[in-house]
Amino acid sequence: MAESSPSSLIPGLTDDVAERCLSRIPRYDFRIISQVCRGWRMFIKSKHFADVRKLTGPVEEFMCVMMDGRFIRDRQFVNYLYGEVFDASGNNLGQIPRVPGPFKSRFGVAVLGGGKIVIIGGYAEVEGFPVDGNRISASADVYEFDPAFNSWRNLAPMNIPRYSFAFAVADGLLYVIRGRSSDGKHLLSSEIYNPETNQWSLMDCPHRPNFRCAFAFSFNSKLYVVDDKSRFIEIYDPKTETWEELDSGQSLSVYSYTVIRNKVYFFEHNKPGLGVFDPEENSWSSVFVPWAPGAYWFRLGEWNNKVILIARMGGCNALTGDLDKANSSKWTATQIKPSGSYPTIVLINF
Amino acid sequence: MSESNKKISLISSEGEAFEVSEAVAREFEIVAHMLEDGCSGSSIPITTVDSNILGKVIEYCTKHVEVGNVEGNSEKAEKDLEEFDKRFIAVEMNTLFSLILAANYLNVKGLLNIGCQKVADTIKDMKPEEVRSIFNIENDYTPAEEEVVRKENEWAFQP
Repeated sequence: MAESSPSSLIPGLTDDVAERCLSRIPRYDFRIISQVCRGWRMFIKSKHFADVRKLTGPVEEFMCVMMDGRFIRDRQFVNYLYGEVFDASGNNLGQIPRVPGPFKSRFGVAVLGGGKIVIIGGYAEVEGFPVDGNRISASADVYEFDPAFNSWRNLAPMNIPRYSFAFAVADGLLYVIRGRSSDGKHLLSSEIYNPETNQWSLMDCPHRPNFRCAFAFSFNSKLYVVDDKSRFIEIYDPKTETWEELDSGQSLSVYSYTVIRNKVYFFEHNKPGLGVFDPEENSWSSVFVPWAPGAYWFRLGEWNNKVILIARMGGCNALTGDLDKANSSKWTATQIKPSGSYPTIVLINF
Repeated sequence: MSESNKKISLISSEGEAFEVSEAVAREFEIVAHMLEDGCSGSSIPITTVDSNILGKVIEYCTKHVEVGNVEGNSEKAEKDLEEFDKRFIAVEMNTLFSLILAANYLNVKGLLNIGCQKVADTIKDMKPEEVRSIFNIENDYTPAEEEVVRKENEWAFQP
């Protein structure tokens, strides 16, 4: 075999094929590549590598857990929102940068285009004594995280600042339903965001003066909006731009949910266990959830096509269960241990 | 003579002739292009690939053409092919490199993909020092730099 020049990535291979080889390594192992030699580290940090990987490398699915973190400054706690990333094997790939802007609560977290995380609205606490007497300030700001740039940027703000709204992505469009304003009043409006034009537009929705957001999700290109403590589910069909109502036969008070394949899984304030809703059949059931010391199951997500349970406070191992199988109450502990509190779980492809 | 029965000779760097069906030869995209460009000769010199490697590449293409021709039970055929690929690529590093270079030159995409994947799979389960020794790569970090790089914990990289 011909002697290769000292600058070649892998002695014995031409650089074009060596690049192809390295582009196929999973992201978690990038740290190994970095440690081998300067040439490899420079290569994987280059724009060229990103291009090669896009062409010949794998697209991996990552679970991103958005959480609250805090540090102390001037003897006061400062809260911030950040994300921690796990791959399909449960490896912790590290953190994504803090979400910009003031720390907020009751915001929305969604994924656009399969790989970009968006943080929508929410409220921030107002420092001092504001003149209008409001202690909180609702936000219209929207931020997007692009893993390819490893950074956040501002998207167009919503038309109306809001928090505690229902939201879901259906056919690439982001829907934000109702919510509340700074003075705590119920909002009657809804908005649609189109990522292609970076524009928000207001949409009509049924008049619900006392709507208290429970949750929303998309299923078969339709938007399902569930009111807190109401037995009626509102269903919006974007094709016909019409709303209809479905009687679920029970009122719900949902605080966490996830949609996997054709089922919706949720936690409810008034009932133990994990609720399961099949929108096609309009059928409801529930699944046993184990109690573990120190672990207060709080948030639900999807990981490896399975349900994952992450405790409200950090430092607990997440549990996962394949609820499509016959023995549906089988849960196994994962090595996933998010560091922050109040997690929200999203999946991105990168 | 029908297209599929036509034979073509591929000549290795040592001058050895390998007679293959046109369907197999067309798996080499470089040969397919030559045939489309009207190169009507029945023997094609592959001057950069030796007999050992050319024989293997032909074995790979023959298998893939055979399986591609089988109709029906595609799931089983696919599984068989996966097994074949796995065994085929389980070779020592020098041979693997030669196969990758030949597949790249001859433009046999499937073989190039499994070859590169094999290299990637080898690297991902190793420690940096093992990677260096297997691939004959010099460690050009100073110990201090190595320490810094080891502590890097980036999951995404800014271009």
